[in-house]
Amino acid sequence: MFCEVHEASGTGSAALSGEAAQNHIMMTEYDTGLTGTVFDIQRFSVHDGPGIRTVVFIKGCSLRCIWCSNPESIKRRPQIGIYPDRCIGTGKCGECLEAVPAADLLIVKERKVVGLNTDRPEVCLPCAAVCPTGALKVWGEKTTVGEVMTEVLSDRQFYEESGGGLTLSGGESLIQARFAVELLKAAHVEGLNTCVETALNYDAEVLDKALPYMDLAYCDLKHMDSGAHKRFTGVANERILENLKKIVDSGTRVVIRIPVVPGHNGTEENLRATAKFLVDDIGGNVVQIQLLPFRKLGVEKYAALGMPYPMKDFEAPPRDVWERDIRQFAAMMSAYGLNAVAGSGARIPK
Amino acid sequence: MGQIGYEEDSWGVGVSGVVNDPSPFPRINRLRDWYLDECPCTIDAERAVLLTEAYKKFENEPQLIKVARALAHVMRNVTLHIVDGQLLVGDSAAPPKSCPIYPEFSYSWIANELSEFPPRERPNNRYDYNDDTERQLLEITDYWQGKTVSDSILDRMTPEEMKGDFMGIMLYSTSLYHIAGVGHLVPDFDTLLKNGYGGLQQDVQDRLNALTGDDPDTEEQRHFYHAQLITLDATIDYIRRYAALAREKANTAGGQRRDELLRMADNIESISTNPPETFWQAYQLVHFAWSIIQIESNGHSVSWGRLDQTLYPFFLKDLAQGTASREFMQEVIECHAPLCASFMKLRDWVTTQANSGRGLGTMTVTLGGVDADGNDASNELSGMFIDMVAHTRLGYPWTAARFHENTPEWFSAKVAKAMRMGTGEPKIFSDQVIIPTMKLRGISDEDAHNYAIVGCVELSVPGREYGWHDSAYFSIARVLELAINDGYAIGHEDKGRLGPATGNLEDFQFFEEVQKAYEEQMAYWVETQARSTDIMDDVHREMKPLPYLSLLIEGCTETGKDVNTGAAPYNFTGPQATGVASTADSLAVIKQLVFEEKKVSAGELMDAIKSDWEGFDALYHLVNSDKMHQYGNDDDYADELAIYATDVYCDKVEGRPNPRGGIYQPGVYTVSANVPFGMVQAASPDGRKAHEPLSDCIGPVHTYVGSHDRKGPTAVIKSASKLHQQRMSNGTLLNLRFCPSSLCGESGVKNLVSLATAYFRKGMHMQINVLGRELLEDAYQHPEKYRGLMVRVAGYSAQWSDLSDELRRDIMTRTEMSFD
Ligand code: SF4
Ligand code: SF4
Repeated sequence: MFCEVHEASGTGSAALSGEAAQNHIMMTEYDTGLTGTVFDIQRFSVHDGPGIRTVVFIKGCSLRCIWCSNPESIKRRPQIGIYPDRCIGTGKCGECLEAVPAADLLIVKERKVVGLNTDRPEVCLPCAAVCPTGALKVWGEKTTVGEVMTEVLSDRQFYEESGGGLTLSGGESLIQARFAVELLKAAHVEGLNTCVETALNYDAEVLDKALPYMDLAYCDLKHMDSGAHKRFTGVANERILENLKKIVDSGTRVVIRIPVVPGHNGTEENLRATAKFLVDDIGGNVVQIQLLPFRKLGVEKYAALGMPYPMKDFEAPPRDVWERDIRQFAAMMSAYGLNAVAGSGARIPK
Repeated sequence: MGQIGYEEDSWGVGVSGVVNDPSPFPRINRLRDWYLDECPCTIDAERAVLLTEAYKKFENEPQLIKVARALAHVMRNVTLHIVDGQLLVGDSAAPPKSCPIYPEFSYSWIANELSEFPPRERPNNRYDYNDDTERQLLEITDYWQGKTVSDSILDRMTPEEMKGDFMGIMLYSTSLYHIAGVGHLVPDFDTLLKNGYGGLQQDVQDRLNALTGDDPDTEEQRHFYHAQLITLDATIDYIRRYAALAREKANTAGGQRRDELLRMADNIESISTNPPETFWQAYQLVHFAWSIIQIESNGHSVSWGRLDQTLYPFFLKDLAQGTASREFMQEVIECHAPLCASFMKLRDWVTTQANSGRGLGTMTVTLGGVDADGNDASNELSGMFIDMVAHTRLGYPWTAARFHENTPEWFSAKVAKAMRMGTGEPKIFSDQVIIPTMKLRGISDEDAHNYAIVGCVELSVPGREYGWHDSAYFSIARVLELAINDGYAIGHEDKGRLGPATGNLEDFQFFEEVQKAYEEQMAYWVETQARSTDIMDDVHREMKPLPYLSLLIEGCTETGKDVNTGAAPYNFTGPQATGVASTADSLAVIKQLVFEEKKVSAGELMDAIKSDWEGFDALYHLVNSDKMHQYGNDDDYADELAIYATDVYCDKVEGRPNPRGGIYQPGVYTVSANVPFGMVQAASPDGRKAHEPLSDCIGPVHTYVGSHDRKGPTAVIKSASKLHQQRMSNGTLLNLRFCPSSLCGESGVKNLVSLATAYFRKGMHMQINVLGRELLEDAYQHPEKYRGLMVRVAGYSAQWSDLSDELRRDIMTRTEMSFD
């Protein structure tokens, strides 16, 4: 399955074979120069598809889920997170003050940088570039398909051993559609397995382009009631459900992921409705349904990005209670003949 | 307490030894509880007293005869023990979990600690003893004054050899063999199992009878054979005393235990001279053979070799003849765990803080791997030893699994399931890398295929190698310090210039000059270290011949020469480089910030480390940030420097002759020496503060403000794979730490095996720690709640509750490589 370029390069260092592959491909099969914005690349990811994988996090999302725990993923352009706790003080350091393009852009309180005085954080990128402590951190970097693939391919030996590959995540991994599709294509050219995590809120043409390069799709279902869906995520769910059908009909393997939020979508009524939909409208053609426990993460991230946290006042039930409930929900959905599991750690059936 | 079962899928992930009743055999669970809860750790004076008596009595005998008579005197008179319920016997010349004392190696520190800082008052690793023991031990102090191996080594060392050693600035430390025996070998069990002690005796007697002539060499051979016969006589008597004790115990025991003890007595009696017939007898004989090596000398890491191969014929024969069931043989194997764990070694308090172990050391069982023809050698017994690890979880005997390209899936999966329990066992090794590496050092193809692990990391040929594998730890991070500070050690300027005058960082125009200085310092310090080590080698040869061990190393009886003289087919000396990543990241900071980006001046950087970064906050955070090239991220810039730093070390060590007719061979690992070596070094350019540990083994830098590896285990593995490990023939070690969630389920096993297999294309040896941060933090607050929690310290596992505060914190700052 692995591409001949690698075979030809022998058993030398995988970094080299990655590069060799890269050079070969550059001339022919995918557009290495295409740019996109990525906010993280995580190697050795083991819960986002089979084997050992690298997850590329694409920036930007068309939903606004009130429970989103990745606020840094929502806006498409680069942002700067401010972490005053990490600032060692403008007296001891002050590197950012020397780099800042206009004096009043940084808000300094008690000799610590605590915020930005602009709604165009890009102008402060030079400050973040010199901050030695990570008190100013850039979220989102413009990069190219070639650069991302170089990093992805450096773990080729681990994909080979484990049957892993590339996973695209976000935000909405297909929001930068051309960039994402090119990455998936590149991965296939290189012989890697591909997975895509998606919330499905886009035009059907996006799927037409991506589906040929998608081995497994992780599809979010947030709520079955369109009104509630709009309340919690900012958009209605009709197009999402249509897209889900489209993926399933294409024969692509689908795992459903439901972030189960107590009192919001984490109700028996909604989860029964979801199960019924999956059975009646999708023919039960999904390989697994993962119920993910909502945890109140991301409070600091919202603060760092200067964004309000919609779930600020939400009190999560104790962990053991909620985990027990989720296991019960999984059992309940399984009773419909579906393969519903708690968490993302269970093995995905072949 | 974790919920676990006996079968491999239910051994648990990250639960370590914090479990009750892990074995399906009630006997084993009882022995385990006895070991963990009931039997105290003590110090015992009997060996020291008996040995001193004999040394006095035979003072004027030739050294070989004297040491043989002393060993015989101990074996004939020491009190013996059989633990209730045990199927195997054989003490350390002390009660279970008691430290015998070896005054012939070194004694002043023991006398000092007894008076100044009594081991019974230590905050951790405490040992009990009564006033009588204390008195007996203090009484022999005067006799040993000036008579120990350590005293003679000190006499012969010049100030030049001492200034860099543990008595000076500790750029390197040769302390291990300076104060204790050498060990680090696998005895030739095969010949013993074939011929029995009776056969060995006959062989030696025949050779003695055949000697003619009276030149000094023949006279020396005569002494040697005499000495061997003395120890053999005593060995046979010693074993028979156990048979008698078993009979005596049978008299008062009831029912099944009575029968068991009588059968043990028969077994033991029979193997005192005869070759063993059954699996049980063979195992018992192997244990006797091993334990007597440990009574003769306290060198640690005397290992078991490939027991799944050695014992396999007995296993098959018992099954075929119906002499023993699989279950019974499993029980025998599991009985060995508490017995091995009962062997303890008293270490001085400084070493204890760094090593934090009570055990005698790495007595490793090697499992799996290929046979002489390159075919897979794993068998049912290999799996039974892995079951033993899961069913006992005591950390002893240590286990190592050899992986190769055709390791069957059942075996690698079973090993991975044991590894993810989080006891730190087994460790895994790559045949693919190790066999060619050993051949590069002149080891024959057949012997290389048959390698076994000794100690934490080292590779050795069973029965044919005396490898001095742990001869010294050597800080390459300190070498770099002297290279940028004109040969002075920071903070020790009062001692004058210690190394060659290679200039100050401020004087250098180009990075290449830093490299030149590093190479010059390296040449000087490696040679100085080797001279110290050679002195120790000479003293061990002259003062502490090992006639008993020489029975079990090929080449000794054949030539009539002690193992210390170089009689084994393979003789090495193996010092280890420590601080690889600390050195690489320091070089990267110098190269990147001072010479390329010119962000800081050389003077500023030197001021910063000399003042422990005080007043250089921004720089301190910068060098610890992801804006720097750092080893462990699959970043060629930094990784090339790590290759360079270790290659320079290997260049100087490789092939230097040693006094036993062999050569020096480099290893690159720290075990836990990175902690004490860090403790004595000033701050370094990589962002390490003064006294902070150096980087661990061949892993990345972790400092108080963060870990320098940011891309997870695959990137660490890629970086480590770039090092020229095929030159590091004394061994390397990569420690990885995982949170349990990344290793759960079937896919967790598969991913772990995949990681290892990918690493083993270029890497030799990997160990893992599996610990959730939550668990670790709770364990830090409440060590008492974590009875039985084994953690991989670095190269070895230890009980969490035995670790020093510093080591516990060191473990906690390692990166948790996981994804939720
Ligand atoms: S550069 Fe960073 S650490 Fe320094 S003062 Fe600015 S925000 Fe604080
Ligand atoms: S779809 Fe995912 S990334 Fe987008 S807002 Fe919702 S939770 Fe956040």
